Amino acid sequence: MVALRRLIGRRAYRIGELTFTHLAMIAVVGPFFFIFFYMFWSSVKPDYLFFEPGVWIFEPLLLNYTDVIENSDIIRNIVNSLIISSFATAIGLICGLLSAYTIARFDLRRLALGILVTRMIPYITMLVPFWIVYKNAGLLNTHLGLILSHLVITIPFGVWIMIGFIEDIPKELEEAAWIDGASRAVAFLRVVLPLSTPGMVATAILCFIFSWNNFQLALVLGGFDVSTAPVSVFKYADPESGSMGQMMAAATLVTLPVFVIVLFIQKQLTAGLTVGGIK
Amino acid sequence: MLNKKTTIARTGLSLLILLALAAPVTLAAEIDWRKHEGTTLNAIFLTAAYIDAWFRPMAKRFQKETGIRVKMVVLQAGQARKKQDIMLGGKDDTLDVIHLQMDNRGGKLTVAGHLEDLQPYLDDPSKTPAGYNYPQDWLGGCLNTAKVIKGQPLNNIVWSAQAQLLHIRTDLFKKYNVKVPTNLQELEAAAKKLTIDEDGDGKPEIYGFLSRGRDRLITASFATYLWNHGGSWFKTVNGKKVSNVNSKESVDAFMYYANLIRKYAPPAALNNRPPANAALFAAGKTAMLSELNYWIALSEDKRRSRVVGKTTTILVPRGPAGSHPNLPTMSFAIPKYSRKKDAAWMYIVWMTQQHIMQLGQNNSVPVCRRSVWLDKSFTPPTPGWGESARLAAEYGIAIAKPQAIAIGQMRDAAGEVMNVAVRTGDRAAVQAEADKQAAVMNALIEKTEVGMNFRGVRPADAKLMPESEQIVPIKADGLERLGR
Amino acid sequence: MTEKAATHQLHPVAAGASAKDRLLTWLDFNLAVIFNVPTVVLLAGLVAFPTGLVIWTSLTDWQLVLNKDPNFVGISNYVTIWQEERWLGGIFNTFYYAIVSLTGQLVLGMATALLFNRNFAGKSFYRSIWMMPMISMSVAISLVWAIMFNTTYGMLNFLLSGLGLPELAWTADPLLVMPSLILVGIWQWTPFMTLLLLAGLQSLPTDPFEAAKIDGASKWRVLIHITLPLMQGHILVALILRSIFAVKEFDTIMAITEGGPNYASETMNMNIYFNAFEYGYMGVSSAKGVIFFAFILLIQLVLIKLRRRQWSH
Repeated sequence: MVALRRLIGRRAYRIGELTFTHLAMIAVVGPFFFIFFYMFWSSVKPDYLFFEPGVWIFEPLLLNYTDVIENSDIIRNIVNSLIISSFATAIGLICGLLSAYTIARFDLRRLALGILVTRMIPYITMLVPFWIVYKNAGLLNTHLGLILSHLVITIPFGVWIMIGFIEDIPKELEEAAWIDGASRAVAFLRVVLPLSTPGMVATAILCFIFSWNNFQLALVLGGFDVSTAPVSVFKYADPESGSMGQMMAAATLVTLPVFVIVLFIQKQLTAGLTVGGIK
Repeated sequence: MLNKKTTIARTGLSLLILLALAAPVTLAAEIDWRKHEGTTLNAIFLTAAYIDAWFRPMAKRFQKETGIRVKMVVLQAGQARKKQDIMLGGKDDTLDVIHLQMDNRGGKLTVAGHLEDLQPYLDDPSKTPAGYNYPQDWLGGCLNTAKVIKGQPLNNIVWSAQAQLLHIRTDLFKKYNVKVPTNLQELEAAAKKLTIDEDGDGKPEIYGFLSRGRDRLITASFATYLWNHGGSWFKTVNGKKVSNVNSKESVDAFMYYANLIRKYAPPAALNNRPPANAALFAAGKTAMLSELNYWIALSEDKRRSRVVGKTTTILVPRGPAGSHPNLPTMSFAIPKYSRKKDAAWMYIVWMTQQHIMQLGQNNSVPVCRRSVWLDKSFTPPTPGWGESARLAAEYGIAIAKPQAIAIGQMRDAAGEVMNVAVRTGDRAAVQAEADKQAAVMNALIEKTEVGMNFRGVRPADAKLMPESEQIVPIKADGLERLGR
Repeated sequence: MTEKAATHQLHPVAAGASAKDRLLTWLDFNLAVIFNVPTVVLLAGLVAFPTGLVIWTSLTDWQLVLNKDPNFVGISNYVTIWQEERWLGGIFNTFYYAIVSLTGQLVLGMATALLFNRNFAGKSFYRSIWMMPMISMSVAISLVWAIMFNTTYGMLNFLLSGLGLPELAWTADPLLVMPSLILVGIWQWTPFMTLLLLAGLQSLPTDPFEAAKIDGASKWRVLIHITLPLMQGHILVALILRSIFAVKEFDTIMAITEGGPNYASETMNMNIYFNAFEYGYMGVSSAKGVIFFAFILLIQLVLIKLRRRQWSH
């Protein structure tokens, strides 16, 4: 009897706990998700319903999307952004991995701090100096130029996130490789590189996001041929004119690619971060 | 003309039709429109509703007719100005056409000498068609706004006659039989009557009035009320330009405008940007909207508006000092450092030709050429819109901004006075703030305009509109008998 | 370092070693330098000259558009900015924003990290949704928030009045504008905090928790006396990473309020921006930039020092 009751009790307890967990999750996640739902729903609303927050049911319009796609460079700039952010992420990742490895293994604290300092620079102040350098180097309005400029975002971030991952790879594994006759560089390639893959995926995603979202650098250093998606969105963030629905459509369009990417690899992101741990 | 044959062969029938349409003008013009074929122009534009609706299709047509491609970067105004400032400041040679408000950055750019003198281009018959007719065919108000500094060369071609006018809901005025306002007292009375709270929950379904109430944005819509009260941004004392925002008349205007916003506008007006205000009007939430007149395109857009066929625009009502429509025109200019100035000039001339401007005009983009207003093909969205826009372009002045070299800070200063006015409604507080900001503005003039003859706009520049004109737009729509 | 260098000696270069072996050995001995070449070259190449230019500009009266040769004015820019009420207000707002939003993110981030640190069905689904704010573009989502904040027709006031609560003016109210922006900041960046803290939680040693379980300690006591003390280091790292973002927050404030009403939400970064691009005072703006950088550096050094002390315990 006692055992049975305990069994029922335990089951009830487990169900109760499960319900509680899901309710808590919905309560926490719901408001966070709501904004995105609202963004999308507003983008298909007719403009005259924009100021009726209570109206939820209407015939959705694709008008705003066709307008935005026809009348702005948004699609071209999303492609540009994909190229620029990918390269900036890749380079940031390689630099990050190499530097993080030396910082973790040789304890180069000064270098780590120096790299962090470049992240502290308020880039708003640097826009005009950057422009002057870029003009003289012929880098304005080029993919290369924008990729380089995004490195100031991705490299320091890459280094700092990767340090934690490298620290978590047991030194003994490397030392075993040295004993087997591998040089340090070879051991790095054969042992450290494969083990840091989850961490690299996580770092890559974060670098990509920060590069993707950057607006100021692309606005000033980009130009008539090469620019990025956020610049296209800012056309609609205008105090002088613009349509509310188009604004939301543009916002949805630039948010979509990152969502798709992250939905596919979110497991690696959290797995990577939790395996390595950021210290 | 040599390669015309091959072009026709290449692009087919549609082009043939286009060329046929353009042919009479091309002949009369006696300039070679295909001289710069294959050139690409870089242009920065400030976002506006007409950019997508008119400039983009026109850029395509321009490319077909001249073989010049225009690459347009369209940005929110602040960002566009930033990009333009950096490129001009750095003497960048890749920027060919800029689109600017002379009353905003114009003075600064002129003083700095960043803009090309366009007179030689205008005088050269190989570059400008004989029938171009500048400035004879330009409306007086427009030309008045194009010059901001004494002795300024012709460095911009003003094209847009957009004006800050009063959008009204004709159906509501008729339904409640409210007099369409011709003076400021009537405006307040109408706003009061049309603030309608039918279900009595204290939150009106329809607000009587709406205008900008947000910080530095207010200057543009507030300017007419300021001048109609007899106030102004600046005045001249002993030949010196000084701030006038703290004069009795100016403070009257701040109080009047703030009172309208406080009492008869939705609280959101304090924070809204103009597109949100225009959208509110188009959604039928307010009975009047003080905004640029091209927004009628939104109110009359079946897909975006609930008030199609129920709106028109009238002049902002007269005040003690008369009626001063605010004309924040837009101009084209060529940076001095461009390498493609001839092609850029061709673009400007092409865009401001009579038959091209006519297309804009017929699409509710008010333009500066007198002849397009008289053309038979011009059918305004409403008769009142047409009349009010024409009067504004004739009598209007560029009072939208406190014109100065330190324009950004001047706008901020004016915005601060309004902030106090809309939030407290207390005259003493407003006067105190106005005194404080006037001192700030004077210090800025001392600091930045030494030895410059920065003209700005002074009350003396205004061409006074006869009182009889005030009712013309209202009569055009047959609304003059309401409220009797 | 010496210990590691000694490890290299395990593989001395033999007299007749091939070129490849020589190369590898050379590489090993200079690894710390060679591996850092790309990072240092790229970062220094990108940042060094502009930084120098900013410092030089801060000593001049250079104006962006006026086309006049800049005059050297010494440190006068650094002196005069302290008389500006707006700049002082900007400093206050910057720290107000950073401190409150970071605290909020930390508390919420910790709570959600604890929630996500359990195993249950559908966890990855919730987690993907949870991460959406931090991956979306600031400018885009700011536009959505700006509409939600609308005093008369916004979603937030609609919900408030639906619940029978008084409506608020949100970003139109000088007192509420910072809390409103902080709300956006918390919404956007708590997920990032969650990720960082979750990583920490999962790397904690298990022994203390098992001991507590045997002692029969309540969950709350475990949290206060075991989890939080163990998490201190991770919390500090998360703060180091996030604080830089928080004090430099720009996109959301620019898109939602532009620093208004009446500069009530103008941060240092915004003030620098307006000075440079609305007013064209590059000299003043650069001087403010240098000061701003000094502030950030100071905060970071304090945080890093705290972390070091934490390590040595």
